[in-house]
Amino acid sequence: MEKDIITQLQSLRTIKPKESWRLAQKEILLRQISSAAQETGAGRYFWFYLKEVIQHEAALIGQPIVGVAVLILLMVGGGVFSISAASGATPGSFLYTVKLVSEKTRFALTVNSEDKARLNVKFAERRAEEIKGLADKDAHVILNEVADNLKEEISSAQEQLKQVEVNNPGTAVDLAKDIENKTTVLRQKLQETKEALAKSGSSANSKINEAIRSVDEAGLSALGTIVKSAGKNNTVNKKELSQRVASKLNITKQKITEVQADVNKVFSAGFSRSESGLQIYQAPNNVTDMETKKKAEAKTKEASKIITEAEQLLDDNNYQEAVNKITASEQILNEAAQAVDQKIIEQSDETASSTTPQVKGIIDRLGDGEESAENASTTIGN
Amino acid sequence: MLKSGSLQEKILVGRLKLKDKEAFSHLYDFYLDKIYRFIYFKVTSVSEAEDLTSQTFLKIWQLALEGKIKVNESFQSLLYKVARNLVIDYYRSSNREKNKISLEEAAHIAEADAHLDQAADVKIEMEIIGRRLKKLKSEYQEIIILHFINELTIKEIANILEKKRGNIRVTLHRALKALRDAQ
Repeated sequence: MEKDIITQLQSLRTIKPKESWRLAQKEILLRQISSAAQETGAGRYFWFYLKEVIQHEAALIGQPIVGVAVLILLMVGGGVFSISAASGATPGSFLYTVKLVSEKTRFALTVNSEDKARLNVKFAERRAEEIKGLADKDAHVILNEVADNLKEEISSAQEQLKQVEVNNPGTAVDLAKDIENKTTVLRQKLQETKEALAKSGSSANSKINEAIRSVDEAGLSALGTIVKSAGKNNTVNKKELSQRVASKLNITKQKITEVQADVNKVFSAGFSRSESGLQIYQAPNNVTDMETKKKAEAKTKEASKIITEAEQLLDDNNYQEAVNKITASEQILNEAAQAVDQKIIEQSDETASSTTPQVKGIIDRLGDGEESAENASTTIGN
Repeated sequence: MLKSGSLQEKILVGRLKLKDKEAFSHLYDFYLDKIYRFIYFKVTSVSEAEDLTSQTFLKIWQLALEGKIKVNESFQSLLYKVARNLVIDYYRSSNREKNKISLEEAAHIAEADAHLDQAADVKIEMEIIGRRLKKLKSEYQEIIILHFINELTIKEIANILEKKRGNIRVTLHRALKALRDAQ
């Protein structure tokens, strides 16, 4: 009964003032306040905004000393110059905090959703460059944090695009095209970093995979906006539309192949060396792994089937349905990819604990001759 | 998207204090529906709700001009307090009975719903619950509107009504009971 009443109360959220009244009243109010209103450009109150941003950020991270330090740095260092000096700062450095604060300030000063979306993408591009730099330096802990930041920026860009679609559909298509183009480039950059990291067997790869998935999602969402708009207004020519959809489709096909290969590699059989010589151990090593592998394989098969349907729809110039199928395929594929990533993390945790060096006393060392033969396990090819 | 208590809002309120018309416009757009809904259930006609809503925003502008918007105060709380005080003043000055349900009110609810594209049975349900809500005493009405309709947290409501959170929880429970029992 109570739940029913609450549901009924919630339905009252739809009560709103009439649109005609809303607009007319806004105009009247703005006219009434005009005489006393001040013209304000964003630059005029820069220090006020910056102070608000720093205080807000410091409160959120519970580290007021950071906020105060940044503020002092900015005041002593000449403010604008410090910020531009910080623009090249790398993650982990003190100036990097200033860089992030200045980005947040700039974002907060921007009221227009379209501009916000472009800023988000720009910041995501910066994060991708930083990730590449961190991968080269083997700073994988910080890399994970920067990858999370990239995901947030790209997710925000997606949200802003949705806002623009609702509030200003006329400009949404151009913005969507821009986002789609940039996410393709971003993807390429992250993929290159991932391939470089794969050689070192780093677990940071799973973070980069997450970042790639976010970027792909944003790109696909932008493509959806383009296709929707093309359907309504003929604002996009068919050839361009076909190329964009085909490109996305090919990326997904490529991803399916990669995930299928990863499933086989991560859950595959291996070799171990024991006293008796080379020994093949059966893997997956437990029932859970077997089930996980089966599910992942089933998902990649399903994703593959759906992509084939998408290809057919593309051939029929049914772009909207083709994009829907690509989206569905990606969602299923991501589930398989996440299972693989999880297994990689588990395996790298196991490797880290099994290779932890032991400090041995003399008595232990006397027994080493027998033990080391049993415990050593190397896989051929490593 | 703007969120109550967010950095974006703080910056807009800061600009409002500096008499920025654009900031006022953004805050108006964000809060209009919520303030309208809050007032709507406390008055007896759409025109009263509209007038008092406009007055709320004008009052906020006036406070900004007078430098009376405090730095650390929640802007959302301030808006609701202003709206609440305006409704109280309105009834004091006009000696109207707050909870009298009139035919005009029934028309009011239907009118507000007219532009909503909803099934007839949902509209009837809304009408019924809306009427029952209006029959409650002001204290119960406010708390139900703020929590279930305008989605404010207990903490935020406590701030607006200047009461303790425990007190708000108890009143909310009693208000729901009273609503269930109202015919």
